[in-house]
Amino acid sequence: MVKSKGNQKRRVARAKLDPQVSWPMDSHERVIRDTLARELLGVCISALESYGLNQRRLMELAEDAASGDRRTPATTKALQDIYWMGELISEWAESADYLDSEGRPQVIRIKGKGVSLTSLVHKFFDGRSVEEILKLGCQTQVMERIGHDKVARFNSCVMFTGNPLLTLAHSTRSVRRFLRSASYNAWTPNDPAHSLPEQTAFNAVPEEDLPEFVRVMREQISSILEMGNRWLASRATASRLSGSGKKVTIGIQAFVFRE
Amino acid sequence: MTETRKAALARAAMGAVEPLVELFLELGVTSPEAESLLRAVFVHKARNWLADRNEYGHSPSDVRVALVTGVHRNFVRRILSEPPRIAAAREQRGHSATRVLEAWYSDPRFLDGSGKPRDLAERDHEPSFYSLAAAHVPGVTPGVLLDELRRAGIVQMLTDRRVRVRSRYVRDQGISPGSVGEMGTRAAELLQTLRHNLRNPTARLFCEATHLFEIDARRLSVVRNIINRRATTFLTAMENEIAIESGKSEPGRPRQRVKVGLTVFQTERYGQRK
Repeated sequence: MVKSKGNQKRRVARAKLDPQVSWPMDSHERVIRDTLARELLGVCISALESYGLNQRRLMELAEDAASGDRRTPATTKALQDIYWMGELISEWAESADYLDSEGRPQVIRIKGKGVSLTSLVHKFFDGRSVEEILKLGCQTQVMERIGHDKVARFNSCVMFTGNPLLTLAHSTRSVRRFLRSASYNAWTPNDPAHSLPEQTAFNAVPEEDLPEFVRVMREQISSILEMGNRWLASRATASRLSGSGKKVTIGIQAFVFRE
Repeated sequence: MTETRKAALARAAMGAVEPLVELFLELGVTSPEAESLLRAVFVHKARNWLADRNEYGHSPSDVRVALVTGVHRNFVRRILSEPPRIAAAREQRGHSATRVLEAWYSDPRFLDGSGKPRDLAERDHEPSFYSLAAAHVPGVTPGVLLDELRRAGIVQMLTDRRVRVRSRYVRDQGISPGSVGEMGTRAAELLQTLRHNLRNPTARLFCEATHLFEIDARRLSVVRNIINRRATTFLTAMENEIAIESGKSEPGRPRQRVKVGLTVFQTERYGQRK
């Protein structure tokens, strides 16, 4: 029998709306669930301790979080500049005016009209000073100053290395996205067409192999994310032009881990 | 095989020869010169082909080669007395150029966040080409090496005394015996794969292509850059995976080795102006 897509969609939506109905099935599952939840909280607590938060402060914040409004993420504000910096460097890499004869982002003037950093800052950081954005760009390793009056695009991604505040905001957003994907998959029928892809590869190897693995994977991860970004950007532009309905943020995130 | 079928198949294969003819025209090679070159290659290839089919690997006689190729045995003898007149494979350039390119593509200090070699200042600020050369080919004067790479078209000088690497490998630029030889090797590899697939439809070697998309010619540089980046990344991944396999063999078993590789190339065809 062929199942209709409409029925399947309704089942997925119902499961997502009311996940508690059929789970946990019994007291044994409940015990395992609580153990896993405790472990997850433990992981979060020890990660936050590495940012200088002590147990007492964490308990206060946990109470606050449990009772407060969780719909407005603080990370959005903290990462706002980073988001717009990402948009700025995408424009620099996509707009024909900003590319050289080989299709790569060209070195541009800092000041002036037309092709310049000032124009980009005006478009993505209206009202902010060019020097401030240039400083942020250099800190996040997306651009570098060339002489006194020019700037080169150095990276295709914004780097948080050495900035604990941005790293914490980024981690929070990443954990939220991962948990939402996992939760979506947990309540989706066992059907690859409806689940969000999530895969892991790992093994125990000598510590000295890490740099080589990072070198190999960095290029591959960067390539697949760049591809995803181009796909999403083209759909976002098309939907802006057509003015079509409800929007949802979708994306892909990848990282190498070391435990 | 009937004469009609043979002629039809030969006509169908002519498409593969046309780009070669265009190159000959560009090089000023005349039709008789090209024919004599083709005859020489034909005779040498026929000798190897017959030897491969001989149970004991014996070289065939000149008469046998003459029979298969249709070339008189006196010409066969003369042709086989010297190597086929195809340019040799690309010549290896200086060791230092290879080392500095290898480092530019692998040393994290000279890569961007996505693992690609970054544009470098020539010497004014770090990371610079001079520091790259000093670190990896300490006995060589960086300026001399940069000049050599620039002349070979491997690096491009940008504005503001910045340097961009264009290729990971040292290879001849323009039309030279080395570069035409490399073209011949690439074309031969592709034709061998296609021929294998014609003869072995159930054990085909991978040979696939994307659809052809029409794009605005002004976006061509962007698309070329995307293809360059994606294909390079893909080839790097394949090199890593095949290299793992090349180290594996079953102990105690006779080892017959096979060379395996993958080539990616881009095609472009200009259409009518609209």
